[in-house]
Amino acid sequence: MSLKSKLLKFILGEEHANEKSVLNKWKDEAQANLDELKNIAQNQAMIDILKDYKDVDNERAWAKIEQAVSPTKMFDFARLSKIAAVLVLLLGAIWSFSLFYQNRTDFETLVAYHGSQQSKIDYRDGSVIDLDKTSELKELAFREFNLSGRAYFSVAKDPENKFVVHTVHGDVEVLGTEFNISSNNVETVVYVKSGKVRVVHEGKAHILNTDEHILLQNGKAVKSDDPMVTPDIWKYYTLKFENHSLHHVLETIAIYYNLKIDWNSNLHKDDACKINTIFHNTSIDAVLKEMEVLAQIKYELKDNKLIIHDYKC
Amino acid sequence: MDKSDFRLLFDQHYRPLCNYAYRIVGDMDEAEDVVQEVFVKFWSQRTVIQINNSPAKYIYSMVRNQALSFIRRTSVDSKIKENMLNLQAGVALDEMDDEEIEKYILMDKIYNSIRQLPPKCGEIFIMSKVNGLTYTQIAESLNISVKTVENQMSKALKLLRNMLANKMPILFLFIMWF
Repeated sequence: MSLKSKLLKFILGEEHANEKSVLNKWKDEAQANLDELKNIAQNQAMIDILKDYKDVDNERAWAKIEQAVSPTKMFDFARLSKIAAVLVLLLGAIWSFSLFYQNRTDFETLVAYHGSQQSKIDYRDGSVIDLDKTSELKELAFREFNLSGRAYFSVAKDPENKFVVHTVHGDVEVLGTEFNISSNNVETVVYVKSGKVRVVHEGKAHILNTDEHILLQNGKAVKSDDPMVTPDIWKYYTLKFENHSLHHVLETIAIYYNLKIDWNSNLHKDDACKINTIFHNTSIDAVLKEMEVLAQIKYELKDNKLIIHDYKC
Repeated sequence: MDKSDFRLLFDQHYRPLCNYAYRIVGDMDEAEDVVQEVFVKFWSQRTVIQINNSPAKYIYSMVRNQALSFIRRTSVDSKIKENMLNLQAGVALDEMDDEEIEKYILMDKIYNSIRQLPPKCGEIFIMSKVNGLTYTQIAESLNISVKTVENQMSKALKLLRNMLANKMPILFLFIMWF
């Protein structure tokens, strides 16, 4: 019997009486022996835990916790009357302001939003705009903007006033919908999550419906309804993958970090390679480093382009 | 702590905490209830509680205390009672051993990495390292050759070393010794 097996029996209390004294003697002979015994005991404890280790449904649990920690709505008449008073004042202020506003003719740039860090803008018509860091959104008029960078718009319905976003490659017009725009000097991608938008590029109009996207470059507009990874994931801080294919994971990472992904043309995109991991506010370098370990990817990152040369699973 | 920090804490520790609580209460559904209750309590008290150490350490202590209090008020079998007594004798209830926390986080990482092994490779690894079967027993059980078992084990160990080596030197002991 090997020394390891004998030590294991000793740790588990399964040794015979005659073996016990021999092992005790061995243990006391040198510090190295004692350390070895401790290591084996520690590993045995780990194996004991691992034997019974169980999986749980994180998402279901989180949903329960989130529901429990959401503020409870209760009737508090004192508080309610205070809110009502504030609302009356607010409505009065809005009415006065709108009277003043309607009489104005010199309508100029109102606000410029700079996304030094990712931010959420509650626009005054009820629309919500997520602006990525290093992006800039300038309000030119009511519901009319200039965008450079990346933003996700959840537009409030207002048939009287179009919602218009100008980019370097064209204009996007909507009435009420949700859409994402990624725009830089080279190209602009507009993706419609729900509803309908009209994109005007070099004098020509393109209508995009739900789940359609268009790529605008100088002299080129390519519309597509091919399934793509939802491009608004960047506005969430966490990237989570549970048994997703490596192909999906890398495409998602590219979108999250606003990179263009290029696959080596000889590479077979193998969907059998599954990944489970979470990244929270993690740098692209750290993410790729971990992917290098998980799937042995060989990659290059330059000029906002992620080039995948190879991977193994 | 804002909601995204709270979610991060949950994502990193929920499963290891459930397994930790499971070792005390002996039932996974009860363990999950205990851990969820603790997370809700932690969030509702976040502005008033004083966390001297890491939030993880604090939440592990909360889970242990909650799990112990759960088994105190329910009828339990002698084995669990024994676990409880051992735990109480080991450390004071308001303290939590860093090593104990690290052990569960490490276990979670190992578990997660094993899940990422190719299916056959993972199955053979578990049969060998966790269930303690010999290569011959595994080969007979799966109706494959001993050589294939050896190859699959070598592949599993290589993949696990790559996935975990930088983070966990202790894994070397785990892999090398057994």
